[in-house]
Amino acid sequence: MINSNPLNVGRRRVFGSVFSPAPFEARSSGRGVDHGNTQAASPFHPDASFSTIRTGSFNSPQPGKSFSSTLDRETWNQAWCLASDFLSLPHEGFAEVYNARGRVESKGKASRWHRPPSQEVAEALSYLACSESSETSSELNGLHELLLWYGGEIRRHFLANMRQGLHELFRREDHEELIRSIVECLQLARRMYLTPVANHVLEFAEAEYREKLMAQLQRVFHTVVSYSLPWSKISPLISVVLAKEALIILGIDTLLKEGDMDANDRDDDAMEVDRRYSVFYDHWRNESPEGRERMMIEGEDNHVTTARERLLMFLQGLQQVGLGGDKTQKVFASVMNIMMTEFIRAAYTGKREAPSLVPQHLRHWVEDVFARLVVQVLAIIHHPRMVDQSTNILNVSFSDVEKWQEMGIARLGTLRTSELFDVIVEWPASTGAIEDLRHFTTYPAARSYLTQNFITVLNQRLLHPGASTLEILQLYIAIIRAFNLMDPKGVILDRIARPIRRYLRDRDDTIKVIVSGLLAEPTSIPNRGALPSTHDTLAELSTELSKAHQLSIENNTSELDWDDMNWMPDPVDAAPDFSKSKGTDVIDSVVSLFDSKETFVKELQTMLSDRLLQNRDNYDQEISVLELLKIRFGESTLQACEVMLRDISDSRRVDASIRRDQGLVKLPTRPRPKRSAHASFPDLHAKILSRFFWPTIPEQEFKIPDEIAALQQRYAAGFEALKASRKLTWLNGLGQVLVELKLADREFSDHVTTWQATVIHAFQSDSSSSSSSSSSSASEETNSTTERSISSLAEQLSMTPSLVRSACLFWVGKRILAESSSSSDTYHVLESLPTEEEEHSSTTHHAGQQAGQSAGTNTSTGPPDNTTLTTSAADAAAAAEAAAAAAAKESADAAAMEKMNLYWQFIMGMLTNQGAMPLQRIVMMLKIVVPGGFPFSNEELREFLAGMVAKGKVEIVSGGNYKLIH
Amino acid sequence: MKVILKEWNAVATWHWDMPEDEVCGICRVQFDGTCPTCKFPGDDCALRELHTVNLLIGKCGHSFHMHCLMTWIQQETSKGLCPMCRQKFEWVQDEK
Repeated sequence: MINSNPLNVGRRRVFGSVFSPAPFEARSSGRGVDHGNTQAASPFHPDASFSTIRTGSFNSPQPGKSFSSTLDRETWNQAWCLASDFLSLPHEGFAEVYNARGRVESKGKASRWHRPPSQEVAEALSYLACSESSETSSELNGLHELLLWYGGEIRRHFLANMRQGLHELFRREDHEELIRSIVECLQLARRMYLTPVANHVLEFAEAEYREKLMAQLQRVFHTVVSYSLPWSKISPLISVVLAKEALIILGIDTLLKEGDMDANDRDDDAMEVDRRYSVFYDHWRNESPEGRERMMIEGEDNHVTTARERLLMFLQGLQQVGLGGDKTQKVFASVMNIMMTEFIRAAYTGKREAPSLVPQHLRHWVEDVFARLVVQVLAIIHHPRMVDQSTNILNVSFSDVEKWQEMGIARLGTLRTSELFDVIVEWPASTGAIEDLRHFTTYPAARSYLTQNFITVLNQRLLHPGASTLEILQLYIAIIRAFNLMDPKGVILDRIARPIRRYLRDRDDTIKVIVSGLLAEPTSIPNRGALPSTHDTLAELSTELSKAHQLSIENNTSELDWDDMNWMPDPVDAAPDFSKSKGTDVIDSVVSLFDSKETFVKELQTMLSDRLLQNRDNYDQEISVLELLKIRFGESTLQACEVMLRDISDSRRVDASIRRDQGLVKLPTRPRPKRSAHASFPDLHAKILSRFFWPTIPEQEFKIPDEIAALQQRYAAGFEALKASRKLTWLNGLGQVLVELKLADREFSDHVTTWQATVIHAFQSDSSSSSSSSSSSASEETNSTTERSISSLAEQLSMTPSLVRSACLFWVGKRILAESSSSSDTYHVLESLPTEEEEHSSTTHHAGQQAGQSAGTNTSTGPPDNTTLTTSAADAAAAAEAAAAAAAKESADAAAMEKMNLYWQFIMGMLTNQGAMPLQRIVMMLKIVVPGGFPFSNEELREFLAGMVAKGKVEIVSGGNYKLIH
Repeated sequence: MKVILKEWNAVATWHWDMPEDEVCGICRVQFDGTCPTCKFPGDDCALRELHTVNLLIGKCGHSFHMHCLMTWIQQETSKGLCPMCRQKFEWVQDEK
């Protein structure tokens, strides 16, 4: 017990270092005083022998005899001198050791230092060994004394010769090799110091003390080494070496290398080398369960084995020269810590297939590879004191392994969290990663980490103006699905969704995207897994809608289900206002983005009206969507939509019966009414709407062609006959017309809007029969075509000029009209297409000619085919687009001006009552006064007022105030 | 150029043949809308019974949704009087 008291051991060493090599004669005088304090502490204490020296007889060399009266001091001294002379170290410098380092076995050197003891020395040693006539319990004798002194000698020699050289090494060598050479040098030095003792001196000691004496010297050496080498310099070196080898042993290097290779290479590799040992997740996955068990244990690669040997050798060396122990364990631990993160990153990044076996694989790896290395290493670099105990306790308990596994799982969670955004983007191909996270998110800390992290990423990568609303919504849907899988309670989702929802609410077009998505045809159902919604609509939503309906029928449980035996309280990190009805799904989440259903229903109405007014055969999609939405919102909310649908289906019936009654149906058997003398009169169909249930439709009043007006009158009469005391109001701005244009060299037929049809109809020459002859040439055509200016058209049709212009541009885009060269805003019919030469297009010559020819001959039905008009078609398309955009802008501008005129009334009132006002104040007042808010910006109002200034209605007086001119 | 209008798909709205924006004297909803008990305007929520010629315009000149008025007339307390002017409510016979 006393034996293991480190304080006393240490003190003894200190004392020993001071006094042992001191001149011998001084000993007896000083000893008694100096060692008095530690006397009882150490059994090695030389005091016992000193007492013998002082009192014992030098003359009696026989062992076993106790306490001779006198000791022959002279003999003792002589023996001591011989022995110490034998052991004294040559003053050889570090350089020799350093140079000897490279040799395989520096026997030569060693033997020069360690010459075998001569006869005399041997005698002296044996004399010393039994010099003390010890008492029964005393263990010290002269030999011990000698070795104590030798320890001091080692210390002195090392400090004098080695230390300087080692320090120089730091300056000379690069880090990779430095630590190895240091260790080699130290090993050599150690051998130099200890070999003579081990070989020649110890044999004289009693057998049971030999080991102890050796260990003692070893400790002396270790102490002096660690004293002279600063740990702060050594530890980074060690960790570099450890990391390098551990990378190989743990298989991380192969993982990293593999990452660089192409996928093809990898496949080839896998095919060629039937590797039985692999830390690859993919390989492991593909194995059978039994194979998985063995995969990381058996059949190690060669380079792994060599690396392992190299590392263990290195550690052995470290341990020998005293650089092992606690400190190295610490370094090793920190290295392994990094290795685990590194491995997880290298092995599992991007491995997101479902079902996920990553946690199992990780556990296997920790147990078979990671823990194995740890056990091997710790067996070498143990605590120095453990040597004495010589027990073979396994340094790693099973609970440690489990702890590492848990740590690994947590690290995996961190990795998954960091790549969560990509995981979501790849959804649903990345279900595996979500499964991994599900294990991870069982701890509150992990949950909050994940939430924080993900929200930051979202803000960086998603919620910025660069992302389209559609993308955000798509991702939001993916997030909802992913998090529902990860955390069925929905608490995490609730937290993460908040910023997204807040952001989406701020976007103007969110509702539009959602509604159009709901109404979109779920065409992509068959290959849903691949790309649920490819382009510009969120067709996913409509799929989800029909799917969710089936689900909601299946599990119809609610929070208030008191008999729910599986009820669980909400997790601790739930927000105070958190509540999740179990039926919450994608649609609900998306629709509930907006505070009231009204916004949603209004948008739905608008969208629905657009779609219903298109000329289509059936509206099954709309009907089914509406039915599904009715389940969610209740009948009454969607009342208007239902009326709309019913209007459409009713009008079809009514349309048929009116047309029958009025003889508008072109049946060959039926005798034609007198009025329809034309060979073909237009088919008039109508959609009859209930006006309060449709969203307000912008009206554009204009005169429709006479024949249509006549038909409409008949139709209206028919309606009145069918439905007594009801009348029709025609909305001429809406609807589609199938027009067929017969031009000199081609025919054109398409569905256009009513106003486009009206405008082109107005271009029809009064004597239409003459131009229909196909023989008209290009020269004649210019004479026969009529030119119409926009203003005259607008007057004639009582249409707004902007609408006329937009229609004209549309027809220009279709290459039916062309703008006259003489004056702008005047258009004429392009009776036959100009040839390629006339057009300054740069296409190949003969192709153009061919095109011209074929266009000339081809007078069959339909528009000219594509090959003839490649370039001009492209031009036309571009022009049409531009025209449409221009028209849209113009009509938008017109609408805006329309509104502005309303506000003008407000402004006039304001300026009259309150005098001149600056722009800012006007805007402010308008914002307060105008019901529904003032939609224009300062700049727009400034422009408008500038227009008014130009018109002379207001003037700008001092200080930028606007003043009304009376 | 000859323009042939092959097919004209027009859009129209219907309204009762009545002064614009007139509201039912009972439920104060426009006639073109529905009375509170109905969901669909037009045929279902008529101002007259189908295939009869009775317009629900009383001789007194007051008009109502049919459903609204029927509810009223059937009540004992109404005594068959027009709710607006308290004259005997008689239905105008449609001449057509």
